[in-house]
Amino acid sequence: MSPIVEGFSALLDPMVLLCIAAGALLGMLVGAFPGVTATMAVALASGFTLSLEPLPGLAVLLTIYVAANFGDRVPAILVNTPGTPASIATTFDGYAMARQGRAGLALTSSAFASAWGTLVGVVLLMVAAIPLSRLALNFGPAEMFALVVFGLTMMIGVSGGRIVKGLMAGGLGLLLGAVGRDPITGTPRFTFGLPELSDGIPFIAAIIGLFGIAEVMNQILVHRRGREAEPIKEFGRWFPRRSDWRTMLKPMAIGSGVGGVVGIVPATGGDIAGILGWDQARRASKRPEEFGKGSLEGITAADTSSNATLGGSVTTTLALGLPGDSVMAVMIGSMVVWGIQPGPSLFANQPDLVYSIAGIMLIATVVALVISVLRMRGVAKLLELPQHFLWAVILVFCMVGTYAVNNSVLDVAVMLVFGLVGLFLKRFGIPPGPVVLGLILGGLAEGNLRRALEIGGPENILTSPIALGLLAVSALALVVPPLRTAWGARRARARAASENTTTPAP
Amino acid sequence: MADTSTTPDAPAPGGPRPGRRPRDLVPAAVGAALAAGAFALAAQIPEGARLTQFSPRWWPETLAVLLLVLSAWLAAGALFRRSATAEEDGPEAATRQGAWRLVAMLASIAGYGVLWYFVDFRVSTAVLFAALTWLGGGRGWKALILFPIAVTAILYLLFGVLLRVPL
Repeated sequence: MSPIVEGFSALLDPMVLLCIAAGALLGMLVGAFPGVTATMAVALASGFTLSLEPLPGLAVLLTIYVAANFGDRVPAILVNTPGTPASIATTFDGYAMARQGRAGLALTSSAFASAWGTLVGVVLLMVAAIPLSRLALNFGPAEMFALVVFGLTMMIGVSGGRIVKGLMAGGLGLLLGAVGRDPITGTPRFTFGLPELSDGIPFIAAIIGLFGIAEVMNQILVHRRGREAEPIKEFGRWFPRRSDWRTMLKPMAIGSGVGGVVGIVPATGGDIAGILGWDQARRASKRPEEFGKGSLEGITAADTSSNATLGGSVTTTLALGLPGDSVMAVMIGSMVVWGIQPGPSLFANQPDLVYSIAGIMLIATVVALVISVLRMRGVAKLLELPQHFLWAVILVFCMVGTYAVNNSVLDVAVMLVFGLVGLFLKRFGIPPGPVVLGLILGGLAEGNLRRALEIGGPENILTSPIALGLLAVSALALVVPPLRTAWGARRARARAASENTTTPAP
Repeated sequence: MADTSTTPDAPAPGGPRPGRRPRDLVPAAVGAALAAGAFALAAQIPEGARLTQFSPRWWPETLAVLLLVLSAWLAAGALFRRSATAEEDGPEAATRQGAWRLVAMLASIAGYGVLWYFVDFRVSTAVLFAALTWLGGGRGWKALILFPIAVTAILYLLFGVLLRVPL
């Protein structure tokens, strides 16, 4: 049987379809609550999906990932607060449209644009994943080490002006990844005599702590009563007219292109793609002055671009073993527990899996679109739910979910400790993504670096064009953003100085 | 479910939002301490038979040195930077009430760990839900009785019955 038929027919299992339905509802809900990100939701869901078979488990996690990128548009449009970081650019025009009495149109056109973007990403996944993994199959230890460094530095490079802190976070993650048995000799390291630590730090517990518990703790810490935004309740017309569809075509095309490219780059997600797509559509528009003031083109481009990253992120994750974004970093943790090791050999051994995953994402997109179009008003009502219910549910579900992974109280303790570590990182502006990435990829980085050095010394790395290329791009990813910031600040200072000298004294 | 608390959510004195310089110096100090600790612990890892060129200590020691260098770099940047740049937004300011609420919630979670040891999961979890909701500001029978019972039932059905986790 061909992998395509085999992959898609695996989805006919009623359990998988049930999991997709549950994931879609859960994803829409978590997306609609500001403060509950897709990363946090997937981390939370990892706790109970690990008891399932791999495919139904993946169906839940992937559908949450897709549906959260629909639900997060609701608060972005109705209260000007992104439900997840991926909908930051939705607020630019979505909220303005809602204030003009066009919330219904903003919500439905956003849903259609998001669905189109996701479909483009899924096509990209089906076309690019297997060739990319075949290319990576030729990688030796030197190239694999460079690939891990590339993934880690890309995540640090997009941490927005926090390069040193990002590097520290990555270093901490790699150090935490060294807990357990040495990957070459099997010698125990930092285990303190605890057999539970010989396989390393339980990363599902660490991830739930860093992304779930830490976020809730921070919300509790900064919460001020009476500051909740009042959602807009006048929705106006819901469905786009023919003229609206015509307006949406060009930004959908631009958003698809931008999102597809951004999605393939490791560690970059919908937040960056949404803003880039919105900006590119503005540059190409005949009415750029309307952008930011309720432009249908603006919201369409932002949401298409943001969701077009999903397929690219999954492609990078599965084909190279490098997380495409922070949600994928969390998902890798679950996959490893299921015995699915993302990386070049995955599709060589299980080519049908790429089509099963693409099929799950396709069905999830259709379900999320239907829920978005039919039940937006209902989802919007969730915005009125008080925060304390959400806090209690997340805290207890995180604890029970973490306990359920190994029936271990130690895992719950690890989760709470990582929650406090995550809170510290958050309060002091250190990105948690590189910690997780370092923790997950630490063994791979160390094992491949040591093998590469054992085989041929540093020359083994320095004579490999692929390894050198990846390391050069990694260095650029770290050096260019601060240089650009410094250059921008210098130009701004020079402009201000010249304005001061040309302004005549009163 | 009316919120009966009257304490204003004013920012706590003493800098609940870390300033720009402490926001770099504190992580630098913590990073340096962690690096020193990791280096000391790595030195205690048994060398083994040295069948390979690199001992099991090599990677953690390298990472500890890297972390130490980065911590020093961060501290130097904070101390010698001429002016603050707008490249990084500070975190939202914490409130005094928020800090107390967080401590109380963590204490409740610790208490839950003890209670669960002696009392059935369903009872102890419903009590925890009620405590967390009350601390979060929820009031009235719906928030403190109906909500905890309903969510505990869902939790037990999902984990205890469907996923057969021994709770």
